[in-house]
Amino acid sequence: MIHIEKLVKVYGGFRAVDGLSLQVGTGQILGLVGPNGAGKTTTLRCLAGIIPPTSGRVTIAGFDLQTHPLEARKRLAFVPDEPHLFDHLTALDHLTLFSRLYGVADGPARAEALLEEAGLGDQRLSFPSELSRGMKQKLVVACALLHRPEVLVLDEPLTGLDPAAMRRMKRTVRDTARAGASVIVSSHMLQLVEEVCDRVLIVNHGKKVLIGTLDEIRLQFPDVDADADLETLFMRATGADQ
Amino acid sequence: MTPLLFLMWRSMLGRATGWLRLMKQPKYLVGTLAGVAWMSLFALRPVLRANREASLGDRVANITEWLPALESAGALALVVSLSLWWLWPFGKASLELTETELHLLLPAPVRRRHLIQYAMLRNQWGVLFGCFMISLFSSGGAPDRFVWRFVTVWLFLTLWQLHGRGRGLWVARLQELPAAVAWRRRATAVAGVVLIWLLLAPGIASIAALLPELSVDSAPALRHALSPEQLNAEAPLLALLLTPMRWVIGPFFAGLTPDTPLVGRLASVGWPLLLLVAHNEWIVRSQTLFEEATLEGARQRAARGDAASRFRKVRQRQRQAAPFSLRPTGAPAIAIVWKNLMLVHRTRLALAVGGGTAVVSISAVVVAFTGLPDWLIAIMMVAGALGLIATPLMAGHQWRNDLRTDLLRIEVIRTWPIDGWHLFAAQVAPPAFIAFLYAAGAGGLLLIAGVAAGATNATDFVLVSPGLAESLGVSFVTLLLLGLATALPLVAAIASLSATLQNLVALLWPSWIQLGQRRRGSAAHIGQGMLTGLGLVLALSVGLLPGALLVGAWIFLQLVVADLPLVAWQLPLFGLTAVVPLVVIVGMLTRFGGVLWDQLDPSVELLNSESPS
Repeated sequence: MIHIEKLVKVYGGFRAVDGLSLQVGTGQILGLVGPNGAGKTTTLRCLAGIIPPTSGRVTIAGFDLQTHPLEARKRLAFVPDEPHLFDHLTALDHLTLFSRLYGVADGPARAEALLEEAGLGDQRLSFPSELSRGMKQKLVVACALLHRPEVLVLDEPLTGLDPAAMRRMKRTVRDTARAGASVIVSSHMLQLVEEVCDRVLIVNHGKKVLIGTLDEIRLQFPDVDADADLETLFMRATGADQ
Repeated sequence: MTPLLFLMWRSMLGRATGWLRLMKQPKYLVGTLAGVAWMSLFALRPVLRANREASLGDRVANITEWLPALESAGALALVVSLSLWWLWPFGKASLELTETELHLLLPAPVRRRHLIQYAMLRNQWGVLFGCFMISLFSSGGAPDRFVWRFVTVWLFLTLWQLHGRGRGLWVARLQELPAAVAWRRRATAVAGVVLIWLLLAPGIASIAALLPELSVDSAPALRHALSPEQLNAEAPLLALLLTPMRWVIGPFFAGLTPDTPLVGRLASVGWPLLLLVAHNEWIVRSQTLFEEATLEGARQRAARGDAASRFRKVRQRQRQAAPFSLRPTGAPAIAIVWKNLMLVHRTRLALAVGGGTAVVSISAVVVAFTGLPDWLIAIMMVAGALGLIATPLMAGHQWRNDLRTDLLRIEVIRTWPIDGWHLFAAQVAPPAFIAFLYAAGAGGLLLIAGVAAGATNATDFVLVSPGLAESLGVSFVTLLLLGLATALPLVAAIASLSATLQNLVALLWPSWIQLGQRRRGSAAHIGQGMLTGLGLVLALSVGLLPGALLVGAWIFLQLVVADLPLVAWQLPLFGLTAVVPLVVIVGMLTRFGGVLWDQLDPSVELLNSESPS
């Protein structure tokens, strides 16, 4: 379960995130969308404990990220938009490392299973420089899922993936949520968000514009079609259509 | 050209703005002010000296006497090096542009000569910085001398650079031309060089015959032999050939002659300026297809800084090896140690330590009977001593298997469930441990050399004299072993302190240090590296002081107050005594590092705070 309360992040004089509050329940998938510079990545970085918020409160599975950071982080997995891997570690080394960091008792067996599932079985001894971007992305996701996180945060998870890998990634996200995790997916690919997410949060200028299911958001715009897609709603909500 | 000049201007402005923004933080402002103050002091040192006038006057008198001869020698060196350069058959068509610049500028409607000009101007930053530093440190704080030194050094370096670039493009062009045309051009160039040498050779031979045997008293004769008057008289053709080269270096020498009038100085830059313009035109008009070579050059430069490239060569079997096997449960900090040790090597630690000890022990036993040649003992002593002292002081500066690499993966490591001080300690441990291993290896080398020296009585080369062993009442080998037992704990503590300090710098001033293996070559980075290096040396010295004082106090109390003699067996105790304060300091600094890590806001410097999305 994710709980964000009045989150504010200020860079110098610029308010990247401005009083954002949201809640994602167990088994739910929230799509985070917004134009460039809306504060999505900053929100996710605050949520993952990478950068400290200027004010506000973030709770991961009941643990406050500020007061109980270790307990919160043990239950969290973050997949950044760029697949950051260690140049000198093989794919298997990465999973071995993450096993120990998160204390996964069945780490070695689960690592092998995740590598096979990601289609990286033959690349288990490859270094990141020998992997394509899509493969790197799969490895990052495998590392994230290794400790069965209660909260999964993904920033642009489909970037660089081929169609088959995209489909697999979407299934992984759904399966993770079905297993009881709270998931946040940030993406510019609105079809992905529409397809995978239960609810959508539209942010602009660091503020919440709209949140709800697609139907709930449609109700906010009586003049749009009843079957309007997320792209149309997004344009209206952010004023990008004007 | 205007858009390219705009690009240069904006890039410069962007760098300056970024730099000024950093200055808003007191830690960077204080560092910069300290650096500027130090450099100013260095540059103005001669001015501040009380006896400046006398010493400067003496120096000027000495230099002035030598100037004509030096100018002739310089001109000759220039002719020789340039002519040999033209015989070198290889040359690069690449200009120093980045991949980004190439991808953006090549498809843009930019004239070819403007793009070449842009690449040449872009290269000027390094030259200008070099000229600035040379002028600052050699002008003795006199503003007029600084300006003249700057201009003349810049003229010479730029001309040299342009000539090299032009020659490279010319040679590369030969590859593109039909073979017959290329052969004709190359043959013409070689014939030109041969002709120059044919003309030079008799003159050089006749001047060489006049040169005296080198000795303390031969200076006046040497000056006379190389003076322009003598050259004109003995080798007029050589003097004539050297004249254009003399004009190239003339402005620099005019600045060294105090009584050269300003008009004379200004006139002296005419010829180099003319050559500079001609060289520039030669290059920008080049028809060489530089695009592909430039792109390849940019890729190669990027690959050189890419630390990942070396891991591709690791053999399959080695990929499965690790310093130790990492169980899935236990302290998470050990996982970071495991990971960072592997950045340097995958050899099993037990094998490295056991194998190293065995090699040293067996070698020591063997050389105790066989001895070693004196020269080898001397080399081993010097290498061993240097390794033992320098490795712990550097502690991972070369490997960067700590926060200096991990800060580049900040988005990953910040999410790990490990508290600040454990993470910081885990980052410090691998470089310190590897430095200790290397230093222990160097200690082993010293031991082997010492044992060999003891066996053959080659005691001139050993760092610890056998006389000392005798006075302390132990055998020479025992003293060596005791010395090692004293040094190794100290080495471990010093390596830990050095690694701790370097990692603290990474956390405190991430913008000022080299993160990862990619070298940072800009002027600002060199200055920053110099400042942080100085700071580290200072901090290390301060950190070592308490231990040294403690041991000093012990020796004083024992020798002077209690009047008891020193015994050899005390040495390891001295070592341990010196280690205690170091351990306390390292512990405190590690805790501090942990607090810094917990409070770190990477968005300020490490993540791109300019474009939060």
